[in-house]
Amino acid sequence: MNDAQQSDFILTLFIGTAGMLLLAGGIVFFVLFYQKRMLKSKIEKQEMEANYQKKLLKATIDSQEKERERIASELHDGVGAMLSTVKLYLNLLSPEASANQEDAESLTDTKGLLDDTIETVRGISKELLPKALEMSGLTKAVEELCDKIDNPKGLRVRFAEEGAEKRLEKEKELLVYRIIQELINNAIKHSQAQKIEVKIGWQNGTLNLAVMDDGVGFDMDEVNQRSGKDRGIGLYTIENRASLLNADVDFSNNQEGGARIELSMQVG
Amino acid sequence: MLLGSISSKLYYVSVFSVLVPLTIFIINWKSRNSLIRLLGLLVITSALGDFVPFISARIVPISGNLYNLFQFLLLGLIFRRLFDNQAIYKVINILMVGYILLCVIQFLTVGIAVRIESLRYSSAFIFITLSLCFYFKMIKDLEVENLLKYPAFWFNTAILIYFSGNLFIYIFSEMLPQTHRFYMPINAVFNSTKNLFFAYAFWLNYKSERVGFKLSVR
Repeated sequence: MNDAQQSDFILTLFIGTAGMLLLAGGIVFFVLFYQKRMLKSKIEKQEMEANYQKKLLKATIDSQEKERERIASELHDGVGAMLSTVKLYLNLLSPEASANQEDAESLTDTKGLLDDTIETVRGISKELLPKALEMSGLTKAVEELCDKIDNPKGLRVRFAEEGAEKRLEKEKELLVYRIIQELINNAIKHSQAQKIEVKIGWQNGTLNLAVMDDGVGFDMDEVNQRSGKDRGIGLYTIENRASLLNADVDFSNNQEGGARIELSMQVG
Repeated sequence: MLLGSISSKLYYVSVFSVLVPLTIFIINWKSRNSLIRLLGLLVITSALGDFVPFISARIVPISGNLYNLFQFLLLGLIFRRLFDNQAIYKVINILMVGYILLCVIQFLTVGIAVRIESLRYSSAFIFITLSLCFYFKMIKDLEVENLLKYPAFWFNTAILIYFSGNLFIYIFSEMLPQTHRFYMPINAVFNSTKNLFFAYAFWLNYKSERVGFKLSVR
């Protein structure tokens, strides 16, 4: 091989090496740039999907609330009014006017049962649409809820509040109220608790809510392993409502035993 | 003369650059990440290969050929771990068996005491391809938020740059013995780059394990 051919070879070697290096560098930069772009579009897509899910969830909860409102007003204004009219008519009948003793006793029993029915209908109507929430705010409504469930001979439900309440949007107050309602229901149904404590705190623009009981507590392994509906409809509904509030929910067990659920959210 | 002086300086830089990833690997010693362990083994093999000429220049071709074989097997194991895919797993296994057979045939026919360049450029082709495939996987999977903080990315980049940079010199060395004088400086530059990238991969893994979250491959 002559000198000219050798020089050509060496030139090819350097051009080839430089070319390969440029190509490798180009590929590395392309990967970095393209991966970032793909990741950005993936995150945007995920955010869009999450927003859509949130809107869907909100629409479902709104329609549930509307349905509750409709049933509550039907019960209060329809069934309740009719029962009151029946009571009025029954009151016109005097037990003394009855032909015999048995009829008189039946009339008194019927009146008693009717009173209970009217009271039950009122209770259901109130539960479906807590008037206190709109009129007096979240703290008062939750206090009423606790008082209603509290039973000195059985399950005790204690309520405590801290800080000055800040009124929220009607929708938000209803969501928080429903969460508390669900947490208390869960404790009654599953925890075998003797005592439930509900605490509401308004500090530094944050609403801190805690519901604690002295029951069996959570099986944390099971709670952590499962997600979504597998955790149970109750917890799933709570998580969904909390996501609409942009609130953090923490499920844990008390050191002394029993469950502890904490929720915190910014209230401006 | 000037080339010789630069070449010898680059050679020493290249040889001692292996101590950088080796030191960080020793700090990372307790890492449970299998990729890091395999990479550490590769760095130890590389250090042994680099320091052999200080012991005896006569065994350099033998150690070079054996180093090629071990390097191929270790890189094969690392890529097998990185892809975590049954089909690629099988392909890499076939490539590893094939390379061992090629080495045995070459050692028997050409002899182990002669530097066999075909072993080098065949492995360069294979690992450039695997490296490109791994980049494709990273783009496709989108599992890593920031590639620059991902040890496997730096390992892969080191492999791509090292083999791409050396490919032509491996091919030309066999065809034209005169190009041997360029072999050392070119190889030294890319070997040092590879070692520094490996060191950064070890460092990223060390940092991620200390703060308690996983940045390295699963």
